[in-house]
Amino acid sequence: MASQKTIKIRVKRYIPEKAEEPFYSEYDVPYSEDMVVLDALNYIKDNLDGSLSFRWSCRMGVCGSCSANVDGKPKLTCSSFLKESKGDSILVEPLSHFRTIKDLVVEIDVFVKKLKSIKPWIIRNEEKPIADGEYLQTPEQRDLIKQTSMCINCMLCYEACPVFDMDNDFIGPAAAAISYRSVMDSRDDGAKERLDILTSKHGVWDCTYIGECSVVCPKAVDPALAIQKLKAMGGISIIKSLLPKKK
Amino acid sequence: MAEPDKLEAVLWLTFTLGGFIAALFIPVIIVINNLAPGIGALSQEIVSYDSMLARLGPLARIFFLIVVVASIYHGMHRFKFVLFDIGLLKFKTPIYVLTYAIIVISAMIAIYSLILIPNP
Amino acid sequence: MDKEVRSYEYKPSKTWWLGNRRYALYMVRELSGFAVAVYGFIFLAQLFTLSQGPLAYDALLGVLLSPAGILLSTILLVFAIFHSLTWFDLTAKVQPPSMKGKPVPRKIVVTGTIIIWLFISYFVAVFIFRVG
Repeated sequence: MASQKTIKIRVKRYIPEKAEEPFYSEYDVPYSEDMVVLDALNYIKDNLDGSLSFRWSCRMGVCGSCSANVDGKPKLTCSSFLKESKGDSILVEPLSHFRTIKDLVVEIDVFVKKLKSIKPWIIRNEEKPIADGEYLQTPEQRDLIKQTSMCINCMLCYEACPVFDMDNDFIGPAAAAISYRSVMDSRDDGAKERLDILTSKHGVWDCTYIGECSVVCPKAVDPALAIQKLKAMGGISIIKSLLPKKK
Repeated sequence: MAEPDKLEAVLWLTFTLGGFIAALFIPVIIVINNLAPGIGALSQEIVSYDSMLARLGPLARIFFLIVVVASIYHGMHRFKFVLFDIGLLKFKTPIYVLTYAIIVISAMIAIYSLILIPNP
Repeated sequence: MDKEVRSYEYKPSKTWWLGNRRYALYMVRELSGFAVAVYGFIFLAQLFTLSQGPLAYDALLGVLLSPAGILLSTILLVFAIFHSLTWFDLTAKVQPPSMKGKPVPRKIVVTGTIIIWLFISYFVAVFIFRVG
């Protein structure tokens, strides 16, 4: 058999029942041009080491579950081609801003709680009867929320956010971007309520516009800018509430 | 129900206003007040004691007060976050007290000085 | 619960801002904001010495117009201009100017801002500092 080209995959492991500390495992994986890191991980799991744990589902950059650090950069492993890597080995590590459960699997409750806190559904003052049909939007209204609607909750932006690293209570990029989407949604009546949540303690004020969240986002969402817009909207809304009300 | 952080909102809005004032006026002031007379592009007479007094009418005093306080406010607000960035978040309260105390004291010195400077 | 899922005490990085070029550039941007405050302190000192009479003022002026003072002014000017540009840029992004409901093209916003900025600078030079 002709010797097939291989590539070394170095994975940061953590197996709490086996070792107190994380360690690294190395695997030689057959290499081909069209392979992504997730393919390599699946090859390892199926052929070399069944104990390796990682999350994945769609393999096509939609589900947002296969996030990891590839050569130190937060990426979807399903969208990182082996050929993009410069060295002869690729380092795969779990997201470092979350607690590791096992290997590349991290504890995501901290993010899910934030997601819940911003009420990522449409808030209506009054539901119209089903017989009246859908809530329609014009293309212009849709454009306002198009970009932030692309978020897939992959949490790469949290991995890129030093403020979240410093303070896990910070609302963070994705939750704020998703909330911005709701605030701007022509069908939504919850803007005031949402801005109140976003401008509370550990809300948007903690962001210093470092901007790395928008750089790493695989879906080209711009959470950094969304947060600055929310600061302006929230700030103005608060000032209005402080001014004496007109009779 | 989450309560909006009104203090943080006011601090932030002041910070953006300060950032805008500083962005508009600080470069030209550095050029005319320091750099140009320093390198001889403008006569040093322009920053002499007497010419400084001559331009300090009531409106100019208010203008300089705003620019000085806005710049210090803006910079200290950001400096506070820089301190957090380098790992000092655990000292959040003392850093808040310190940075805003510096701003308030600077504003008081500015008001005191501008009242005391003799009229031209 | 925390202890069950984590084997080691995690410490947030204190040196993350050295981690990549963009983080480092962010730090420079933030320090440009701090530089603006530094100049604020210098200008405040000038105002204070003005209130204390010509002797005090001239002593400070001597320092500010010395080679070291000029070097400091130059550094602060570079930072201050960097602050102005990044600040105008962010403002235009957060509140994109629009005319008749349509967003103004970025090129026009950038040139427009710089022209207005230069005009205001000229105004300050002529009417506040009475240059020329």
